Amino acid sequence: MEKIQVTDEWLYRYMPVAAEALLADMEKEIDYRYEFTAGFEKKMKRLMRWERRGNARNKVYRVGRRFVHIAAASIMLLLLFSMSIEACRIAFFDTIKTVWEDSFLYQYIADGREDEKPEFHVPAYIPEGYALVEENVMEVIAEYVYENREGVLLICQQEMIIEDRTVVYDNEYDEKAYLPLNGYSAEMYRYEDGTVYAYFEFGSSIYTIFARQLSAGDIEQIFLHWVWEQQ
Amino acid sequence: MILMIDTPEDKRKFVVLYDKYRHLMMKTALDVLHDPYLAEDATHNAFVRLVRNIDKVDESEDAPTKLYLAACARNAAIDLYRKRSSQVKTETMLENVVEKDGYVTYIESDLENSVLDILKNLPLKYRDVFMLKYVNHMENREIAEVCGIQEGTVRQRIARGKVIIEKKIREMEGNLNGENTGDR
Repeated sequence: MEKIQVTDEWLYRYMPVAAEALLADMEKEIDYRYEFTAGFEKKMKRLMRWERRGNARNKVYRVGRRFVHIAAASIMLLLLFSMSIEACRIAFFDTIKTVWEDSFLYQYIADGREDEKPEFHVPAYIPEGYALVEENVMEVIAEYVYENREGVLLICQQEMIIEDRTVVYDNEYDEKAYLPLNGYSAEMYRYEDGTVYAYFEFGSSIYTIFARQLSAGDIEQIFLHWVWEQQ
Repeated sequence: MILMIDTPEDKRKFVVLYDKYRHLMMKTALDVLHDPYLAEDATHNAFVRLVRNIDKVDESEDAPTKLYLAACARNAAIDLYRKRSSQVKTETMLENVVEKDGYVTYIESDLENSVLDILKNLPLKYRDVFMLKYVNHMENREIAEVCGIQEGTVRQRIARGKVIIEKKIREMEGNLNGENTGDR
């Protein structure tokens, strides 16, 4: 009898057969009648919403980036004809907030008068137990992701507003509240699974906080030490 | 970005995968954790990982898709177990996972039956790596990501796994030869 040699070629040939057999056996043991708990279903629904929000956020970012590229190209052309140039960043903007299906749409109209460089601030206050695990700073968005020992995420995002920018948030909240911040006001939305998001406009940026199980006091402190402390 | 589903097609794919395979993933997680509530948490965590790697899987009902999702669920379950028990090493956990009696397959010849049983019943920590490499044709780097281990560990497991398979095959050949000699 010829000896079997365990080579890659042999494994590529036999492992798929073994996999089919293994899966067939596993599938016999799956309990398709198992009813997932309401908590699980809610979490999955929430995940799909976060994904949708992420999707909208990505789309908005891509549109924003395209706009920035076009703006940058325009500026270069203008420079060829004139030595004086106003930067395209805006300092003041109006917001149109509309409700669309289960989402809020925030659209921004910028006046484009002021010259302002993109300036991102890192939150100076973060509740105890959270550590920075990811930092994404792009042209118009800076995102700081914190995680605690239990794997609970806290996401702080600052977006520089550019003309015609649209941001989408989930509006199926259970509780809405306003947080007073140095004479201004932030919106805070809580959902039944404990998720919370807070939204604040200041200068030429919007500041958002996404978290699970975070107190109003902590949210207030994050905003106060994020928006003003480093201005 | 935290979440990476970019297109409506990917979003639809995610929903289809959830609908088709949540029970398979739950079963895989339950085999590790033996607690339905924890297994649901692990299944959820596996879907969170899937969102980030949606491009690595398709929605067809073929073995690579199922193997990938099962591997995601198993490793999410192991992560959860580690977090809860504060154990440091995955290795320990994988060795502690008790599976039911080895699956047995019957095909044409005794030799092929035995070979397939050897491959199917590889120790768990080798099995996912081997399946993802030789069925899903994934790179070591990608396997490392799914299994939550270092790329070097993937290479080590492939090398050690081959030695284990070879050893078992030699034992099997020895037994078959013994039987044949005894028959004469």
